[in-house]
Amino acid sequence: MSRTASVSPAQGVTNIKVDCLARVEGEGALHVKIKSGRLQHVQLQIYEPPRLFEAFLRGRMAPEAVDITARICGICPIAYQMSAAHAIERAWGVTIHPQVRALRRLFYCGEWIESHALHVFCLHAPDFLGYQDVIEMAAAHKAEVELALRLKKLGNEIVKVLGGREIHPISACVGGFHKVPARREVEALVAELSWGVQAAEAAARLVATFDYPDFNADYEYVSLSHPDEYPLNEGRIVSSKGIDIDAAGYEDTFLEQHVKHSNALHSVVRERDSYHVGPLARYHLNFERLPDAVKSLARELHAEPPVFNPFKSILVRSLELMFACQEALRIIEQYEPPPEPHAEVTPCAGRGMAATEAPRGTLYHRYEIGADGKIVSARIVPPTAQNLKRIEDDLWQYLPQILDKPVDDITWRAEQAIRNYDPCISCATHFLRVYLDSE
Amino acid sequence: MKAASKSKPVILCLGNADRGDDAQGPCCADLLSRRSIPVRIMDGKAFELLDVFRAHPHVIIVDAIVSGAEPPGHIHRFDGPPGAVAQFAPSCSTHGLGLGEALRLGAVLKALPDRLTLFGIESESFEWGSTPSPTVAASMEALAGAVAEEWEKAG
Repeated sequence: MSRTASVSPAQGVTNIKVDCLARVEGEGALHVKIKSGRLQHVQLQIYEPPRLFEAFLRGRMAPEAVDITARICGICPIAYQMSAAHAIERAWGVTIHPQVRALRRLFYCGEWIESHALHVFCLHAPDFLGYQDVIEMAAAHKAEVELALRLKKLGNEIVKVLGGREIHPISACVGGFHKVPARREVEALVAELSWGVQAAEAAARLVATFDYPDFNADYEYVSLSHPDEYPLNEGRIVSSKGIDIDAAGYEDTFLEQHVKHSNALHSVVRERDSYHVGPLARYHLNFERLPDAVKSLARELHAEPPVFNPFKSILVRSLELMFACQEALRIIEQYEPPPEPHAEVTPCAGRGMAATEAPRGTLYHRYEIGADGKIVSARIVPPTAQNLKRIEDDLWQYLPQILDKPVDDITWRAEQAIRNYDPCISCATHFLRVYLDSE
Repeated sequence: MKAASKSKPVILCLGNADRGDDAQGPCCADLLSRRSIPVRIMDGKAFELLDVFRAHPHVIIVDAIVSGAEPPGHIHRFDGPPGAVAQFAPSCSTHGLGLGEALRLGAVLKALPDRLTLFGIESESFEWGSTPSPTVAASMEALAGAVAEEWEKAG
């Protein structure tokens, strides 16, 4: 969607309206008001109507949640499938085979690769390089855009091998997969993944040269953390300010609040404030579990934690892209098809909660299941909903630094700051409008 | 490497079967399949379209069209160099890069087919969970016939 801007001075007020903030998913608007050189009002309005998935799920057989919730998002369906499957497995006491567990990590690597490649190059890099969109950027950066397309295709291919198809994959189920790949099928991915590791490193080296705004925030970073691995499917929920809980304690620790100006709920840590989920949080809390090559590159690029500059999320995404390619290779090297594609499950009454790491951050699911195996209630908290208040807080803290800039620059930077989070507003509740009032 | 120029064009039917008139792509695919004409149903994501563009010299696309220039039910046909067709395929999503972006990005990356023919019925309704409007449904057979004729005479 093209973006237009108009400046219409009236009664001492300058109104800037950017019709459509492209390169985000979902419908919303950002209102910023500046008076006498001071920031007076920041409001991220999400007017996309609620999608009522939690209500759709009531009365459905619990295993259906894996396929129903996958339809919440075309970008990260695997995240929804994984959180749903894990939560239901916890409710029913299902133990999965170690190779199924490994395949789920491989599946998730595919989603991270396609999502991160899209965001780094096609959605966020144009902000840093001064282009309206990836098409304009491609004229001067053809090689980089071709690299992004190839990386994204690699991620799609992994998803297709594991999930049966690239879009809305269908193979994941409670207990494992309906069908698992033969060893030769995953080995066919090795050559391209080996290229992917190099390509992701090149991406990180490129984005490390970008000019980053000088801004740091005192974030409470929240992500899964696992003692032995960089988190994808499993781990405790931890934070940089002391949270360390099982997913079962999520709702006792975090609070979703209604706010008048948004159809999406705002999340806070109970009795504290906003928090930050996503690549920066995972990286901050799990850096030591990254492969040595990724850690070495991060140090060489002077990007080792702590990183509290949200604009550097593009660099951390690139490093996570490299991790995902390496992790996929590691899993494939050790892969032996499990004896059965999925564990047998017996529907029963239960309550299960799980969180996994979607590309945009922690995704929480909770299901109450009746004795007939049907869902009594469901709760889904997507990463973008958790970040919405934090995005507003970033703008409250960052915009005062640039109020002396021309209004076009302020608007550009505000949009860029929002895209630091790769927000998927559709998941949280299709366009974002930015209005800047300055008097 | 593009297929030999004498090969038949590839037919891509785009759209969502549950979004009213956007279902014309999948519906047309069904009608063409009954005539034993090979088709591919795609959801219209730009990067996947680019992969097809790179591989085929002639691509026929069937997708819903809203021009405002013709009454609902009118069958559009645009043919020629893809760059010329791009103006008829504006973007209509955000995160989702679609046909319009595929054509414009393909032009920059020199990844377009030599020839692109775009068919579509002027549409009026894209309601969630609905079938095509009666006006568009009434033009479906004629649309499939026009696409079939294009495919038969090509290659």
